[in-house]
Amino acid sequence: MTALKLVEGYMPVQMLIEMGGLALLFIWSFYLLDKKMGIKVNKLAQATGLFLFSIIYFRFRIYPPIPFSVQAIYATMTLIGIFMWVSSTETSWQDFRQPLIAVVDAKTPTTQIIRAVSVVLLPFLVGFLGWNNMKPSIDEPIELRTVHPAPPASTKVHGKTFVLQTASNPYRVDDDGKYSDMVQKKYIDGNPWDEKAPPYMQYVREGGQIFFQNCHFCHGDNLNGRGMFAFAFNPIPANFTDAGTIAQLQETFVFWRVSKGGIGLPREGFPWASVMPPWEQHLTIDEIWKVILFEYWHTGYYPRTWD
Amino acid sequence: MFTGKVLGGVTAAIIFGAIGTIFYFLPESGAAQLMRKAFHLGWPGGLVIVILMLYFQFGRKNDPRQGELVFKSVIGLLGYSMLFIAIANYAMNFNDESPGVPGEPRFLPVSLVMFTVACFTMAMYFKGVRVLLQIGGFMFFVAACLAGFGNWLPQVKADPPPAEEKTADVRQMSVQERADLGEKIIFGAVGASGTQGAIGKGQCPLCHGFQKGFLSERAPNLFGIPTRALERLKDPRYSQADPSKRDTVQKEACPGCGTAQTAAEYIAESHACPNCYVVAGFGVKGSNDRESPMPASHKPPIALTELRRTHRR
Amino acid sequence: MATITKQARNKIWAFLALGTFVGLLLLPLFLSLPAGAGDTPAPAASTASAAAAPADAKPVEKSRDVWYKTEGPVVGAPAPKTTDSAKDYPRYNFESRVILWVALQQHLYYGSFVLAVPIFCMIVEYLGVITKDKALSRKYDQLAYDFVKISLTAYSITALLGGIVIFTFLTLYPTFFGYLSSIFRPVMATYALLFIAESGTLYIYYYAWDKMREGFLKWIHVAMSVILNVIGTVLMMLANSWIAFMQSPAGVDADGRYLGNVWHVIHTTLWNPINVHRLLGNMAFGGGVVAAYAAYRFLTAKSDEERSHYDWMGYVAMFIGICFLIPLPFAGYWLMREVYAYRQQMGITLMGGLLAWLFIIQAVMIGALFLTANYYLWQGMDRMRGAERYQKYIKYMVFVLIMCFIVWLTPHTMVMTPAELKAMGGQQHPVLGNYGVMSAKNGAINTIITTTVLSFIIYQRANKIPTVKWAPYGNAFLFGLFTMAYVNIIWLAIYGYYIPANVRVGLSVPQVASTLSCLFIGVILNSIMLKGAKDVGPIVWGQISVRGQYALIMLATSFTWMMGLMGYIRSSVRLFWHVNEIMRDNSPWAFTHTIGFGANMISFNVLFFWLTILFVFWLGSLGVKKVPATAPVGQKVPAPAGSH
Repeated sequence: MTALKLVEGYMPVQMLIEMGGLALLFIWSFYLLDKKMGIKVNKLAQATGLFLFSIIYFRFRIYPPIPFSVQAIYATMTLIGIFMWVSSTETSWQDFRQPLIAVVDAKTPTTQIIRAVSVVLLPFLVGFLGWNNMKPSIDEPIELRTVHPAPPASTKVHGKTFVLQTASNPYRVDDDGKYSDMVQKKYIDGNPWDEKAPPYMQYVREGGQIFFQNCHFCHGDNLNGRGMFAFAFNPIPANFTDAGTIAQLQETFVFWRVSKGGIGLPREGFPWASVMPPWEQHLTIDEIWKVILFEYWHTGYYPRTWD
Repeated sequence: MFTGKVLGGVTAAIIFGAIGTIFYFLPESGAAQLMRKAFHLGWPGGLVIVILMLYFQFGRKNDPRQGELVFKSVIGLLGYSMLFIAIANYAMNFNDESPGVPGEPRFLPVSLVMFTVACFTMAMYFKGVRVLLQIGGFMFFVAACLAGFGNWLPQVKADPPPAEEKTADVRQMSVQERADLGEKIIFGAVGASGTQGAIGKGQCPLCHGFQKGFLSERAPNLFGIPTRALERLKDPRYSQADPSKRDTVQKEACPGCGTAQTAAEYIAESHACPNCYVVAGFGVKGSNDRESPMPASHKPPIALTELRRTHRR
Repeated sequence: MATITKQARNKIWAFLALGTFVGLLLLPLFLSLPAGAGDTPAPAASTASAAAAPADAKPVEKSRDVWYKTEGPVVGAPAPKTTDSAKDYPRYNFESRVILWVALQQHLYYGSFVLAVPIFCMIVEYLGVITKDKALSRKYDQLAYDFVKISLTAYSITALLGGIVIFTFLTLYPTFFGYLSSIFRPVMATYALLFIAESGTLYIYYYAWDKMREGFLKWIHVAMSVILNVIGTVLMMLANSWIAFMQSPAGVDADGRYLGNVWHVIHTTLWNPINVHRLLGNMAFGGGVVAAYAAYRFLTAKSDEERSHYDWMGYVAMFIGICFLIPLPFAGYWLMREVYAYRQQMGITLMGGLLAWLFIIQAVMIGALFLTANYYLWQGMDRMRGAERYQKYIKYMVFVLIMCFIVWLTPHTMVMTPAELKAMGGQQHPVLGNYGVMSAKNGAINTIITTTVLSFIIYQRANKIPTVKWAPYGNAFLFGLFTMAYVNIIWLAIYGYYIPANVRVGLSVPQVASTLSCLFIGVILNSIMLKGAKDVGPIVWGQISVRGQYALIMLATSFTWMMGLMGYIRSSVRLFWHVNEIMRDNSPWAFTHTIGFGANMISFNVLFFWLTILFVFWLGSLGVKKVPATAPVGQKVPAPAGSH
């Protein structure tokens, strides 16, 4: 089903629109069957069909494949939605129940057989599910990695203490050299190679040079975490172009992570699955700030601020 | 052919067969343990129900409701067993929350599911309390869903950080307390000052001896420092009261600090500014005793807090 | 006495009672005003001590308040430094903290219930008094009486549980309890006195109900309910001061020595946010419990009259509960802001760190609450003929709600095996990763609330056809309003990805504005349009499906669970401190439990509470055998807030 491409940049909206369209199609087709062709499809059958279809959609349509845990959440939500739909009115609820009641009452040979088979199979099914859940597995255990653990109140780099809540990037400055939130927006399309570029763009260029000398081997030349060494690591390095990484973080948080590296992750960051070196051992404070400046400028994200 | 009674019998046979299999082949498995525990906890009540059932079967031959009563006691026994297996699950796994180990407390919500099933099953047969059982069962179900979700999420258990002694205000401490604190900072523990040698990188005893006769090659032995300090003050190289005449890389601990007047001040000055005065022969090699190899104790990497530097014996 | 004067006097009383009630609700807000009561006692105390200091011959040691930064004379001993020993932490062969947890949580549930029910009572009794319709007035009065009767048994259980809590606290945490009580001694004495006053008022209120049924006496009776609630609220606020002190201490110095200013100790920075949050939370919870009671009585009802009465009661209770639920998130937001202002660390531990997964459960619960509320409304449409016209739209609303929930529940940090991680190619999913961030969540929850409002509007007009001349324009306006709201909310949610975070935060204002304007303009306009509308069929109370009643029970259970969860979060954010940064917990149970353990305990507490409260209900049903006074089935019976 991946033949139909997800359009880069519009994927989340596209998924919602697709789901909406499919749901309408579903409703419409049963409406047509009923009104135009006189085939009334039982609510239970409709519900089952819709549920199976939603599972297939989440399982195969979305690419890359989504983890089981999320699929489970989605399936549960779908199930709840289907229940709310079929039981919303008394008529549809009776329609939905009717085949189930028929099986339980078992007035005809067919329903008797179905009932017998399910009564015998159900204990086995429950037993099998229980066993399947409990049996030892050779898969790697699920690990909860708090990717962005709570930062310390302050961090000390090259003997200088930075209070994370108040510190700011000394190079995020407008043309007068004053700190500015808006300077990145102003120069987002600027040319860092311009001789007469404003100070901000100069710092971005310097940051870029540092990035390509140190960081891009892992974080990739498009900053998307797909550097030439990236796939030697598990998990692969952070993808800065994703809305969930640096876009979610304060600049000082990034500063703390860059300077302290994987080894400086707190207890909460268990199991510390990061091999990023503590860059304070290789870069100066200024270089770290500049490279962060570059990362934000290049990805077009803005650092998180408090209100 | 497939009447309700036959099917009930078949289901019962499957369940009892499964239980028998578990006990016969896997007597030490978790399931067998669980059932044993449940039996331990709940056998008196179960016995009462069994006696009731036997009484209904054999003591009430003429009662028209005999069949129904026997059937209800069987169903009651089933629900009762389920209840106690669920309780046994709680009793066995309640406190065990080692993350990553499958099948431990994360399966406690299964108990709630069992309560739910028991409630709804009982509700089918015990009409008098049907609504209460159904409401109860529904609440168990809601709680089971929520608790199950909570247990399904990844688990983290957070230990508190090691108890850190709060740096108390030294001015409030007695002399003995201050001395003990100082000993702890220098030697690692109270009463450890009698041992020779360093306790770790960057610690005072790495270079200084603290007892008479202890090896102290890199830096002066500090034994008897309170009296010797006064002699140092009189040393012309110390240049008391006129730091500008000192022939060292750093002349004052801080601009305008001046020089020490008392033994305690001398010791304090030595901590803050090892370069201000270097005991003859202990300077950095080739510096002609103008520079000290000792780091200032209030700056990184030693970085004692202001309070801590004052606790010396 | 002339009727006119009586009417006028009653009106004056009504306004007085209403004013007092409003004042009571606003009391915490007034207290929180910086220039208000907060500052008056403090300078008085400090000047008094300053004046006393020179006069006093022996020097009084002074120290600095950890929060207010004022100087004050040291009065109390420093916070004891405990060790893991039987002296500080005597124990049974069980985790002491869990025992205390259960005791406190049960006390809190019952406490909230008995504080909330009198407020209900007050509202309903007042409604009864001002209603002109005699039969309706009796019905309201009977309802209020039923409420207070339930709360009476619950009240004694609350007192009993309070005793158990103190006993558990004293035996398991003697040193800590000693420290707290040394600071809060005057507060605890006041608390005990107020508790006696509350009991006295409650019993007079209950037993004098029949005697004070008519005329002027009735107004005194209503006033008594106001007094009852004032005392109850003050009681709650005093109890809140203890937990607020534990979380954000003030009035003591860095060593935990009490500095003699009791107002500082009570009025810590988190006190007022907690007060407001708890007051609203109690009301929502009380509504849930009463609704569950009504559902229980509905399901066991033998006659149509009973069914009709309890269906109505459940609807009223749910309605009041939801009304107090809507402002609750705003109160929560204020509390969270204050937490961040107090210690950013604490805020991050809550929202992004150790306890963040608990907020995921909270998100699920919020979802469950809204879905259930919608479901109840849809089921309620079965009461009315003419609702079929709208029932066919339900499936679209279900669909919108579920889509939003899929976005709302998509976790930011996905749980996955390393194999899945590799297949996905990173921690973030290119499609779903976008649902994990704030912008998407804001859009989703606002759409959900707007859809819920839409459900309510449809419910209101289910059995009516507007007859006002401007009805087509009104309908078109409503249609436009909701379309605009949806477009605005969704567009802003998408736009939020393209701008800096500090600007993005501002986007939630127009989103919430859309939602609220749908809520107020939509509902009010709809009510006006339905004035004198043509009835397609009457509301037949009692003609609701069993599923609808289970929705009420679901609502009640979820409220209870959510309360347990939020309480657990609030309490465990102190981590390993008894009193934050003042007194460390050195017991073996200073660690933070896993989420699963917490969820198991909350479930236990919830179920224990419901088992006991079902017992209370059963006790309540023993006394009355008479059928409640009701209008005949099919006759128009009241429903609150313009559902007609």
